[in-house]
Amino acid sequence: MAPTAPVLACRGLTKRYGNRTAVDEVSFQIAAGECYGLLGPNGAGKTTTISLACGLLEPDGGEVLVEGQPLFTTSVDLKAVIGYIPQEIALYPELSVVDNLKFFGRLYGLTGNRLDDRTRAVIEIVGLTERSKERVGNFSGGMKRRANIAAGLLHEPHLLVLDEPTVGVDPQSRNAILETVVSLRDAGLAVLYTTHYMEEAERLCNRVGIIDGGSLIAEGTRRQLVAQVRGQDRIRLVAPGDTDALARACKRIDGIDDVVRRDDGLELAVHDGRSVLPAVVAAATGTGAELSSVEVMEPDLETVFLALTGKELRD
Amino acid sequence: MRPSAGRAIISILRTELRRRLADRSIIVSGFVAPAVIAAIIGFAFGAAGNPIPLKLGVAYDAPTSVARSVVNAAIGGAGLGNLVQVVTVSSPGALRHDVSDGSIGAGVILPAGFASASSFGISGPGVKVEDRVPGKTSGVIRDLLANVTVDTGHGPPSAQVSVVSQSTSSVNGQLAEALAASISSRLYAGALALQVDAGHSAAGSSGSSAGAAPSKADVARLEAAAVAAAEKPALLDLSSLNIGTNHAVIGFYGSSISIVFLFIGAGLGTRAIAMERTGGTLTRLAAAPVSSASVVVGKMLAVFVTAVVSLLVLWAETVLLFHATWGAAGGVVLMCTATSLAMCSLAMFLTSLAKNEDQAYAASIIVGIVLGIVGGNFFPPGSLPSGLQFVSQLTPNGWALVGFGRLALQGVGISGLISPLAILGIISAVFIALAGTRIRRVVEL
Repeated sequence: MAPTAPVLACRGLTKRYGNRTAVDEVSFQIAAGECYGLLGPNGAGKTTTISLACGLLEPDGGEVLVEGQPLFTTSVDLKAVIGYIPQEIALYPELSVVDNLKFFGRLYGLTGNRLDDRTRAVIEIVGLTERSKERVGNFSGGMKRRANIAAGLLHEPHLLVLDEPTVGVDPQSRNAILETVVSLRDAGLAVLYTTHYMEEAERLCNRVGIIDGGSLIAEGTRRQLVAQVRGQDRIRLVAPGDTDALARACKRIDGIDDVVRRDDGLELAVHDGRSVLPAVVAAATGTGAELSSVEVMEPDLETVFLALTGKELRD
Repeated sequence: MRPSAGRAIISILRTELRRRLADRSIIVSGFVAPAVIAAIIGFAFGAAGNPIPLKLGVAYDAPTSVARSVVNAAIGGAGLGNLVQVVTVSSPGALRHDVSDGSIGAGVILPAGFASASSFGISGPGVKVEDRVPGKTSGVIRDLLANVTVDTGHGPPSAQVSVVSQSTSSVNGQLAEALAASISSRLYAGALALQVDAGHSAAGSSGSSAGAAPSKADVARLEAAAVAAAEKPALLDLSSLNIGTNHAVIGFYGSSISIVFLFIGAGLGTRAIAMERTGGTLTRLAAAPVSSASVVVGKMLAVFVTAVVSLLVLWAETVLLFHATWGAAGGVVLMCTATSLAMCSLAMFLTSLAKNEDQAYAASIIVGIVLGIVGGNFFPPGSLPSGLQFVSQLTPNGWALVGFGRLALQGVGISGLISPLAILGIISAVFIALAGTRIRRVVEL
């Protein structure tokens, strides 16, 4: 779905706690049908940014526009178009999934059959139909997370905000959560997704903002970000025996910038690994080198993050 | 889409009560705890309604035989039985000291000129109340003064009989004060009778003259008049004070002790709100299209309902199991409601100050215990320094005790509760307003 007018626009958001600036001049916008990932390590300012974007905190500077209207902590009506899924399991463990969802649904103005229908629908979306009448407190971590997401979808929001929804989740539940987000994005929701798992950001997000120390230090699609740091693909060739001839042949191929010898073969730095690969294989055949494996490694967001911040994403 | 504020509040209230029912906390705080308190109080005071001895002091400026005779006659005429232990104290100063430290509930001081012929009549007002806490006189004494303010136009002011009392809400103090006042009224009645008798004598013979010592005949007439006066209806009807048995005392102590638990319960309830802040559900509520005020009001209402239920259950249990007398039902319901509201408001205010649930918990416990001590729930206020006695009149639990005391011990109706209800209402309004200024802080991250 082509991006349209922004559902969420954050402009110069700033939030300070005493002398510490938790969020510093952060700006980004999200269109309908777009998933925007806010990627950064713990303590980078992701949750504070999300809290500002949902009207949970009042910014010290900048503004938040939701569907073109300024959002404040007191903007009761505007909050109805936002579906917020906090990092914590924000459900009452003493109550069943159904009771939790009906309670939160009522707070969004749902009543009667509409409330019942929506409750059933979101329980089905997150795959908890069989256990919908059980207390949330009895659920596994992954099931709690799925129920947590359901509560944010009840009122059919236009903007879905998820704060690290897969932390501490088993692979099966994690996959279910990611599939749910993809389907919602494809259904036209604007999604703001924070994570420190770069593979999630790569899988879900049309665009990614990299946040560190409260500042948005880079933004764009994965390709744009890689280009921004001049990231290169790498081709790893495992070839027992003499690789001198192969190395010389590779250096003559257009698109290969560098050839590095390894104990078990060669590593090639290239602009576009997939397009260069046939020529590399032909060179190996021509020089009589026996390739036991070939691997094309494209730069990922982890690489970008490392290049931009000088530290690992999970620091 | 968004719900109205009323719908949002009702939704939050309903869910809170369901949660409390699901985790059984409402069963514990609303039913089990009141039952335990009722049982302890009931067994402590005895279910049979045995009277509790109260201590009443009598001091004489000049302990003449006339004065002693009149007092003995008045005490005997009051029909106190074993309900009251009357002790003679060495001096008015010692009596005042004993009343101040709470070792004696109240007392009567007979003036030096009491036995003189010139002061057989007591100039009005006939009973002077020495209030240990200036500026506040209990309802009993006010009632008494209203009844005995009769200016006979005879005798010097020094002949006034003094009632020394505590105006704060100790049970012993209030009961003894009432009894002291009753005895004083009988003395006054006896003196009036003697005045009349002396007037007749003066008109007909050489009887007593002003300033002279009483003759044996005067003394005999005085004693006879005092006994006769004691047999007449008292100026203050003691039967209205519910002091025949300790049923009223069970009711009074039931409410007294439960108020402390009520505050701690309210504190724990509001602490749960602080815990929600940490747990994330409060964040989700803040993100919903409802105002912060609706969230806080809905949650506070749940704490309030639990508090009212616990008090009403305690009332029902002490009445059914131990035949306690709390007073007029309408008044009890009003007092339970007003007290719960005041304590919940205070707890909510404290929660708004706390940074986390641990602080909220500590504040509720510490403030609850301090209020219990200062307000008179644990110790008679008379045993506290005068500064703290004044502070007790600023506490919601102190005023709750005044209200419950009037209901249980004086048998007043709703009209007699206007001042405690009004003050509890003011206290509630003040704390709600203060919490309201910090309402976003309660909800926000």
